[in-house]
Amino acid sequence: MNCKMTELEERTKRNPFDVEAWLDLGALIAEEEQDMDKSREAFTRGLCFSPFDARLRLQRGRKFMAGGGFSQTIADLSLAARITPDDWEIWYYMSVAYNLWGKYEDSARCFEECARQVKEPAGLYPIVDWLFTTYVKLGQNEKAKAALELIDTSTPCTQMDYSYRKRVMLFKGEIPPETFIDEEEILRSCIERKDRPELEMVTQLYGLANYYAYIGEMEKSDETLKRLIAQPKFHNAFGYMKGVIDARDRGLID
Amino acid sequence: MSEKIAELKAQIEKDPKNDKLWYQLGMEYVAEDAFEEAVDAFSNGLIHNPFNKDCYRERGRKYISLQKYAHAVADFTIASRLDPYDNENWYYQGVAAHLAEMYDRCIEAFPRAIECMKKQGVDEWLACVDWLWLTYQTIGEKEKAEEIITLVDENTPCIPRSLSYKRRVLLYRGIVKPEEFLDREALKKTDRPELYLISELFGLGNYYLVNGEREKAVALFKEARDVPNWHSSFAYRLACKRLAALGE
Repeated sequence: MNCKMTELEERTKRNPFDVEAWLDLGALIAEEEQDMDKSREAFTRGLCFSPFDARLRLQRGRKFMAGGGFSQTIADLSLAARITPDDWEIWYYMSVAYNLWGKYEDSARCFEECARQVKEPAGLYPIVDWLFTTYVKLGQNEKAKAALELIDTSTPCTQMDYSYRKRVMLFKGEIPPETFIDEEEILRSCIERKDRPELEMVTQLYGLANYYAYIGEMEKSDETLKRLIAQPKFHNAFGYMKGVIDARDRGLID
Repeated sequence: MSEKIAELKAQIEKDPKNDKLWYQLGMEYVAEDAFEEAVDAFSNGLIHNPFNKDCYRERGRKYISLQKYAHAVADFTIASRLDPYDNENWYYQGVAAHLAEMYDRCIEAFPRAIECMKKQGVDEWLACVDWLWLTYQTIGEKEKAEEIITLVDENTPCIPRSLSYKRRVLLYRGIVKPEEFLDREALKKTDRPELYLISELFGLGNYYLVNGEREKAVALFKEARDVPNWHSSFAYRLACKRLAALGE
């Protein structure tokens, strides 16, 4: 266990009501050890002392998703949303959970609420992206197009959201699909963090597969999904999880 | 799938946001020992009513069954905030906390459970005394362990399913001798002979362990471990934990 983790463990022992310590500990475990069960356990222990803390509910809820525990995720987030109804992040992850669960109407409803709660326009990129793909999944292409109008792609984005912006540009027809995946461009543009380029690749491949499906090029969509599933890392990333669901639905994998 | 479960699922199909139906579905899964399905059903109830205290309480109980003890404590914590007068919210919170090794929480929860149960005339509070003795012994507070058991004597009323707990407390008090404690024939006549046997094997084993008689303790824990049923019972889990801690 590294020094920072030891320090946080000590803080939670000295004062188990220290929500920040539990939040930081759970986040650090997820980042350093990629152990989602252990990360979730930290948030859970925090909730044993602060059961109505919306941030702990949010972070624990997110960690249930990795194991497919969608009802547990949304249960946590539903409570969090009652406590802090104007926190866009709560609505965002609730929407994602519904989406991964296959409940697309609920997902779209929550993403719309999420869009209403976002304070900075730049924060809309992931939401617009998800709304678009969700409405496409529901066969509601008019609503999908309307979702793209929520943001102008001249709006700068955070480096974290770089792939979401790129996907929105793709969906709007501003980037041709043939040149969408560019490994050098990913390396230049993404945030400098261990394995980040691999995560961006997963995100972008899923976006591309979706776009091909949207314009009716199913063979290219299937090929892109297969390329996505063959990626060696980030199998708990949303794009990967969604890709697996879509591939299974299409009979591309068991 | 049982008929009742099928019926409830059909009702939920028509009324998916009805948290009470999800709760009922969860309870049907509980009756079938389908722990994961029960947790899922209670969670679905909480999606539509995040303040449903019954869903938290029963989900907490199933988290214990699934050995997710901290998750159980968290659920009982919120359940007891929503309804501080439900003695089960305190009792099972204490149980889960003990299994999660959150001993400070045990010491808070079990006295609340005793208070609720006594006020409500529920003669199950003796179980809390036993748990408190176990907890105090575990954390080395022997004086408090000796003090808490004085609440119980031979005349303390209790319901049948708490009888094993009462006998264990009388054992700790020295009122029942260890060599007379285990009455296997009497246990066979109860409604849950194997469950109470596990409880008493653990209780006696733990008594021997606390008193430094390791060999006797291990033999009893192993016998409890080898009972073929009731593996989600608290005493079974504790016997296994003790054996693991002893390297057996």
